[in-house]
Amino acid sequence: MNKNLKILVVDDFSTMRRIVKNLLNELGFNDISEADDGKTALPMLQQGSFEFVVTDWNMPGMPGIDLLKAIRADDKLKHLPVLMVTAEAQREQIIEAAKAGVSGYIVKPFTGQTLKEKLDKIFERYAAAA
Amino acid sequence: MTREPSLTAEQAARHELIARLQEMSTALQCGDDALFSERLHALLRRREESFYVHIARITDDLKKAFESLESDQRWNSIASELPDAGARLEHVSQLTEKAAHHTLDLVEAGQQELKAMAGSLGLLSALRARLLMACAGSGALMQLATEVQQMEQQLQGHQHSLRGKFSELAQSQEYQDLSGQILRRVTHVVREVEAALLKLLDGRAPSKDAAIAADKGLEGPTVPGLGRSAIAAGQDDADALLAMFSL
Repeated sequence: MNKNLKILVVDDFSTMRRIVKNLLNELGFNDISEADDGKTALPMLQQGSFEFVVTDWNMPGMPGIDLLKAIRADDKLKHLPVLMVTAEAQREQIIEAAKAGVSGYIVKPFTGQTLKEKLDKIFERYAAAA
Repeated sequence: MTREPSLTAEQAARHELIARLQEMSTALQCGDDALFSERLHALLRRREESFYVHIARITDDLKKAFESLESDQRWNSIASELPDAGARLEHVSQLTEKAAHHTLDLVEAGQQELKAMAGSLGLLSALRARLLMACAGSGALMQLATEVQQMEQQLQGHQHSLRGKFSELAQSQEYQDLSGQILRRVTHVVREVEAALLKLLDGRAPSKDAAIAADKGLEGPTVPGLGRSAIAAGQDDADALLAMFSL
């Protein structure tokens, strides 16, 4: 697993951004940027060289599901792994995210162990596809 | 002696209608078109009059309901307390956010101290190595080096344990995100009710936009017992669903 990965954490709650960042730091990732919703995140992704996105679903402006769809619709970004970390736990929403091309889905509240497992699984899948 | 039960208004109206229809039928059979037409128009007029009487009654009831609503101090009291309720909810949200950030500040400061402690342990280990080299042959100094090593191991154990506890402490602050989302949703509902109630008390209907927004509702954290859709109970259920998509 490449620990120098450039990661963007998208969440409207600054506490949750700090928590996810803290957990990613614990897992050895240090190149982490933050955005408070999809509208802020999308131009950052288009201009930056991010290699991984962790996003919430429920955010004002542009929710995570719309950000995911925008990423998948963008030729430059469509292969970007997107992990959704959200309190939205309804079946329809999980299915919608899966159909929109989410790479992983974590239901809040979650543990650091769950985050690690999901990251491992996503990296394994991307490595196998490469 | 048996008394014939008196007819209700509905039965009397029905009998009268039957009599009119029979009269119209006879007029039609006899070729008296003028009488038939006159009776038909009379019937239609009566129907329209009945309709307008109903409308007038409903309008009157509605007017009385509005008058009672405006004069009811409880509604005015609720309308004036709602902004306060919304502000209190926002205040709770701000307080929890502030507390969570303070906890996270302390956690991060603690994590920095742990890193500093790891550096000190590294130095201690180097000092112990130098001690071992310098004390060749001295049993007492060898014993001292061994004791220092044991202490290093203990400190490393504490350091590892503290790192895990800090991590858990940071993660436990996610309650602020979850409770904050619920509070934000409730605050939005309170604001919508407040706006609708104030407009109602002014005798005006809520705006179309507000009605649409209220109907659409907000997305938010899953709350047991609430929500219209099936809920995946937790990560395991979510994983089972995602497995269907080979994720």
